[in-house]
Amino acid sequence: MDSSPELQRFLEQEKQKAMVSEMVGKLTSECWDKCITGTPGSKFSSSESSCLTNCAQRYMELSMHIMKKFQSMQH
Amino acid sequence: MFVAAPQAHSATRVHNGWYIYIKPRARVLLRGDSEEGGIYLSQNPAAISLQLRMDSFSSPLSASSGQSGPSAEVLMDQLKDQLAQAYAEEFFETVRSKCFAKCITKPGTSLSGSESSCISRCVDRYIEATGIVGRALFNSPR
Repeated sequence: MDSSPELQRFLEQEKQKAMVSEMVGKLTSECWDKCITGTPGSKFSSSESSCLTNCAQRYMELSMHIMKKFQSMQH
Repeated sequence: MFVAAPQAHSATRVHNGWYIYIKPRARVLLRGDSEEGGIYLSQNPAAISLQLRMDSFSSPLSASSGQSGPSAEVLMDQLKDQLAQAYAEEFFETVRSKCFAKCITKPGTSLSGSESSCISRCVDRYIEATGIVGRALFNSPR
């Protein structure tokens, strides 16, 4: 029961989903702090919502940058 | 929820300090142990920790029959439920923290009307922000 391949595959999938969920949660938390500076309104202003989008995408770019830099440092 | 000492068998980290592990049906009962097998979600399998425990699953077969316990499908369903609950709890905690910071700047003797409506808007906006960030991550940046 412990090591059925079906279960292992499922655990691996859930682990991936959990990692994605963790990333979204962490990013939302940080981008909220950066972008929503005042009291929350009844909707986002366009600058607030584009800030959130930009924040998430720049973070991913930053991640790639850092990874490439580490890789280049090893050669 | 209850506090118990888990027996971790190859725990797998899934999420921000949460681990899952499969505990086989106990063949020898230790004091304080339960005989149910299943998938457990715990914050630290190496120490006493909080367990999200499903309603006790008991095999339709007797304990002495030597059967191996719950099917893979039952375990998967148990795990999905536990994960969903863990995610919900964590999200609740995050929203609570953010909205307290934004809306309760000078705690009074009770929640004012403006504080209440701020909290309500804050929860809506935070949920919306989660959606925006989630979508931004899966649209490829230029």
